Amino acid sequence: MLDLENLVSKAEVLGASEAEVYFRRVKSIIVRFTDKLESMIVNSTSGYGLRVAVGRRVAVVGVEDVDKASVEDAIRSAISIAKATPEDDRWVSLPRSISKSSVEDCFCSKTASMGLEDAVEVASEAIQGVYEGSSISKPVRGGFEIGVREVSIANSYSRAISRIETIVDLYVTAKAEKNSGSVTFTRFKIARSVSELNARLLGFEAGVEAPRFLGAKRMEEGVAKIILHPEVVCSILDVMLSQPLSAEAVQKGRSPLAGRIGQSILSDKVTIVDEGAVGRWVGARSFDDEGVATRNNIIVDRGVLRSFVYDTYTAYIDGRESTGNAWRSLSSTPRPSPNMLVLKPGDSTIDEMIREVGEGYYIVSTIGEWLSNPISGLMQATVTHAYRIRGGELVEPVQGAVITADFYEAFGRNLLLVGRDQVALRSSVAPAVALDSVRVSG
Amino acid sequence: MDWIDAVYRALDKASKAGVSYADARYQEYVYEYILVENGSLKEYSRTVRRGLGLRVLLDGSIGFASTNDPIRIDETVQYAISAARCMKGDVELSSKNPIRVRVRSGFSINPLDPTPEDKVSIVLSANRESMIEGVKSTSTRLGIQYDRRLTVSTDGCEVEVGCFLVGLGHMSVAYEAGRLERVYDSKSRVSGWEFISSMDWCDYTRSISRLAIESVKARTPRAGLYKAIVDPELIGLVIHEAFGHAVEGDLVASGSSILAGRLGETIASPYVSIVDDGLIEGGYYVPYDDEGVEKKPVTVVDNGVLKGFLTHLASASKLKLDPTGNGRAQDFHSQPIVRQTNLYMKPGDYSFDELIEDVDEGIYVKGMGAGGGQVDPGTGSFTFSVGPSYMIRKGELAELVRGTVVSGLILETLKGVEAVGCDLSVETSVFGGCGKDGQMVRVGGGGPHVKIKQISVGGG
Repeated sequence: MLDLENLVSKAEVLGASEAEVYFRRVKSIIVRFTDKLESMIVNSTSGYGLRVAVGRRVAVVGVEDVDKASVEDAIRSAISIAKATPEDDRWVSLPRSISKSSVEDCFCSKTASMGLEDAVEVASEAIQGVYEGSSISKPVRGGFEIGVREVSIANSYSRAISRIETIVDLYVTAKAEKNSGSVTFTRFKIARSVSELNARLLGFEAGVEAPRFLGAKRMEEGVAKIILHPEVVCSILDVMLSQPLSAEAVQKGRSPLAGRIGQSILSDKVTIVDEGAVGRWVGARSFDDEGVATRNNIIVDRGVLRSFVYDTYTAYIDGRESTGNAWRSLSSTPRPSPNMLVLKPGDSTIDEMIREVGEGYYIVSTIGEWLSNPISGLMQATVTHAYRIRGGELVEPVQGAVITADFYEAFGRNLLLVGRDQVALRSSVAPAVALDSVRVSG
Repeated sequence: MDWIDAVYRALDKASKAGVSYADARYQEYVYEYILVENGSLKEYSRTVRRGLGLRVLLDGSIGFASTNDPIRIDETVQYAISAARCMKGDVELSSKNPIRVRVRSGFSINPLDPTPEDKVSIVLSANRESMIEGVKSTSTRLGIQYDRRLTVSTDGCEVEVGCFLVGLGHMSVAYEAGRLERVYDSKSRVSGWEFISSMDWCDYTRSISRLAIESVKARTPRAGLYKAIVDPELIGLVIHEAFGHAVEGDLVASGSSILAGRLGETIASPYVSIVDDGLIEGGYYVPYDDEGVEKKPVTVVDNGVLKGFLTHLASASKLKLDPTGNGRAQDFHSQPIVRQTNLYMKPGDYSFDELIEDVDEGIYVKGMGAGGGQVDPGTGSFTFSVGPSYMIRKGELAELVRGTVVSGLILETLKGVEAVGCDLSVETSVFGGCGKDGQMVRVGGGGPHVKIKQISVGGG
């Protein structure tokens, strides 16, 4: 890594009134498999994101090149672009100081030191697990990835700070085949440490679950009570809330939550915290992508909207402090987005929820929930794996329908139950929920 | 060390280490992005990326390693070999012709050449013109991509492909009576700056704003099953999601596609013919893939019969088919997997009026404002979003309805194609692409207007 503080100084010498240098290095080992090991990938890449201001004219250049001359060229390029752009009247400054919060558990040395053979062993365990799950299941797709990410940042106002994180990511797809019918089912897990990962169990679960969906019937059209699996809830929260909670969307008139701080927007069963400083979540980090210390921020407290998420730019506009929510790629301007939305658990086990719902569907997995419209609040997903609930029990597998609801009604007056057991995905954590009056079509 | 020297050094070292096959791929990538929101410049950014990916086949196992540091070439070669050594695979790669070629997409004006001021000026004007009454928020973006790839392999391939892709996208958010609605669209071409300078972008962004204003006033269609006329933009998305992924040879070979083992079967209505073509007008530019294989047009469905799969070297070997030039990688960090290039449905005989005239009640679903789609190839479920669309009543277009999602099961939908229009339009995008296994690549797609017997509309 080049000396970031020297690069900041270089930018200032070349004409920048403010400069920020963001460095990122990612090392990863990836094993791909089907019913056997297919390939192994070892990647190592690093790059620099350069944000410069010339007065109120700002530009960003990203360069995935480690050569000092290339990085200095990129600084010159950023300054020349900045000089050519119109002034941004809302620009105040880069963060005036950068610092870290004390976030533990983001880094696991055992995970970081895993070798190629260790990665192969994890993948092999997942393969074996599928076969143990069922005699008619076999693994058809899967991947295991170990990543180590280092981030450093310096700007015109502060010396460089650094952080290092690990992440492990495993998915396994099992296919069950019987009497000329077949179906696939995928299980996945993302965590900070390989110790949190039981690859054999994950494969086993995929192997057990896949045959249960053989012969799935089509869901019936109508309005129904549904239970959403925690992973589906995570995806929906991510899609429906990440953008509306961004101060940028609010300020630009693109959030249905604009002007709703202090108002009840969801059921009083809903409390959502943005846990950017809880290290075990993979969205957590000790400082955000412009060097502001992260924190845990209450977003929705028993249904009442308490806060949006801010980076420095949007915080200046609203006359407040950044909440430590800036995200960026090497070449993009930082933007505010939640770090890790956590829907706090309720009391119900999944069995209690099924009994309570009585008649309806248990939606285990969906595709296309990201096609929902967070601006209008229209929540939609296409069901790939579900069970019909009758008499308070799961009676048969079903699939092939679109479920639709207004998100704020579904998680508002139509929210029946919040489950007890949470599941974490990449940027959200949630338990199962039971919803009333969801439209099923197809 | 110069990057080109590094590529040959990597290949040479791998070859001397006793691998049965190796390919080294150098990529140089530049992406410029300008974003204007509500009349102000929000972002002007530039990405520059250079690096090398090396793939080796050793005793039936694939190892791949990448770096963006040319002095780490020896270490990268060692990583790739070590990776292959610790696998116990039985992978075979199909043989290919040792092509030596250097090609680049056509252009008159290098799109990286105009001054930053000129580029910003076009985006600012287009954005400001879209801010008409009833519109609450607008954003306009310009994307310019240059992607150059050199693939060399131990079997004698030296294939260099360069491609410029440019485009402009716009979103308007309209507001009325407490409701917000957004409409997004973009236009991209494999071209030089001349595509940007020749278009009336102000007219384009105003038309998107007008559609957003109409759309926010419209109702959402009632959820249910509808007879549908699908426009060319959307039919490209439908066949990409609903069908294209299921003919990707790696999914077929692993058994995770519902089309595995069904070559020669009738899987669609006789009106349906589908082709994957790397050079079709309007699509993305893929004359050769990232394994150095020439990308020839592949007819995957011919009059309803499944005729072929898309393959890369490994899946071609497994399926005992020829490689079709569909081995594509997102970047130098990624190894090639089977990807579509420009998948489109071939046109038929019907005019739009003929398609619609006997539809008593249905929906004309449109791609402008749509946001993509997804498929689960193992169950055959697919879903995709549609933009503001029109109801059809008694053979005529009726009222506008808001965008929603539609879904279906792959084979049911393709068998339900009742008629195919005589028009054809294929498009690509500089702002998005297709994701698979964590890799995103540019694709194109399209077709004619198509009538489908029944499609599930999500409604609201």
